[in-house]
Amino acid sequence: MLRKVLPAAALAVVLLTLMARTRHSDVPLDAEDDWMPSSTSSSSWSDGTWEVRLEELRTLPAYREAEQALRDLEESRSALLKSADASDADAMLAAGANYQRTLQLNRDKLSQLGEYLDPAEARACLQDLVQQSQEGDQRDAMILEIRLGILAGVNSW
Amino acid sequence: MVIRSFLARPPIGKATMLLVLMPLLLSGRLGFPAEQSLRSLLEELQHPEDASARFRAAESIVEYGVLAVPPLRSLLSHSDGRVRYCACSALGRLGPTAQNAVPDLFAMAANPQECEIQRGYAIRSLGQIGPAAASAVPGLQSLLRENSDPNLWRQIINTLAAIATEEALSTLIESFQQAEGEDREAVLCALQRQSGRIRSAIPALLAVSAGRPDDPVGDEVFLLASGFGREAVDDLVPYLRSPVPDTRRRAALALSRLGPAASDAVPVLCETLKDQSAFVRFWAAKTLGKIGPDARRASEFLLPLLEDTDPNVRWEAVSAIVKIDPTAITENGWQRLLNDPEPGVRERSASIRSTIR
Repeated sequence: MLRKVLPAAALAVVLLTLMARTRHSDVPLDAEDDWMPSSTSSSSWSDGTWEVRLEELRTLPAYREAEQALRDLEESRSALLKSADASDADAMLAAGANYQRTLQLNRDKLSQLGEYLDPAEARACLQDLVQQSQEGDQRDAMILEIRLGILAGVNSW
Repeated sequence: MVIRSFLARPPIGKATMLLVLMPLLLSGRLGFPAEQSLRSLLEELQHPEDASARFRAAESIVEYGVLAVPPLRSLLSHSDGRVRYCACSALGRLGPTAQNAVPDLFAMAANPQECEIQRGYAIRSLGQIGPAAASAVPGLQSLLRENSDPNLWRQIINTLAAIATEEALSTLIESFQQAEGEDREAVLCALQRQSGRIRSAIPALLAVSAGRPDDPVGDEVFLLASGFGREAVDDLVPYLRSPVPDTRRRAALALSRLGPAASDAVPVLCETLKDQSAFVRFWAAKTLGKIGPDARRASEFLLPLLEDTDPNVRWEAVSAIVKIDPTAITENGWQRLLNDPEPGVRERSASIRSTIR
């Protein structure tokens, strides 16, 4: 149960702060330059221009820090699951505390990234980060929970 | 037969006929013969058993335009709630043509004996009538204050936004100020749906949002302003000097959406490049870059940002400067950027430099 619920819920919770910034943001960008797509409507996400912009944003230092923080979270989550499997109460307590710290760090890093992104860019980046950091089934579970609005405050993907 | 004889006429005859017929066709005064008479449609709309017949009639009756309004108004007091709903729906579909039905629709909306769903339909129909339903605004304001049903509350909000008179907009701003959470978002969504018609509400909305530094919908409010192009510059620029960093960021973000239309903001944006908050400097640089060559005087203020303590600012400054003046960065400057301690800045610089060579 823990193995199933934790990965999906935890990363989604991490994204909450930034998600709050990205709601109701379908207003198209109307003055984009050579390095930006001409529209940010969700329907254009499959457009190749978005890929180009996303590629650029992946070099943004704040994006890289968020990426690293997500990788750290994956590691601390694995450690927590391992200690749960081993039924080692002390190790689980320590891993849990570490997990909490990493979770907070993630919130901070993602919130910081949001400060440097247009809300439309933030949505694209979040999807990108989730895709990079989650294995297929976990990612699907998380997106499903977000879409169903199970996680409070997250219902606009 | 009619078409054949029409086509057989000489070209000048066709053109003349088109000139005469088109305005009539477009205004709906001359239509193709209706399949059903108004009387039979009104009967179907009151069908006691067949719901689809009622719905079809409510759709078809709209073809009769203003002629359908008086009988539909009468049906709003029909004893069968389903008929009242269909009449309500048909009046909504008629839009401004149904202006005379506004008092009846409002009476239905305000009737406490009526079920909430029917009241909601009546309120929605008033919204479909739009600005022509302005006479209902004072009543809707009272309903908004007295009503405790969340669905009706949202319906009233949407309708006030659709009516969009000054009076309606001031009520929405007040609601936006007082509401919390999802209710507040509902007000903003209603305004966003009518974004082209709410220009006069923008200064007050910005003030409300800026008064709440942690406003979760602050970005959306400022971006709503940017939808008005150059007109929004004067509204947004004062917020670049707000004491709240997030408000300054939002103002710059909204200006960035305007591109060259934000050129009047260049002097203040140059000041903002020295902001204490890195993300505000980042957005000021980005906005200047989007203004492009019209922001040429900003180059001298942007160049120091290539050595900013925040790598994100350096990352953005490179592209901003190049967009304004591709020759502004010296060879030494490029060498420093290509050896920047932050890998992202190095990559970005190399990529941008390759495009200008």
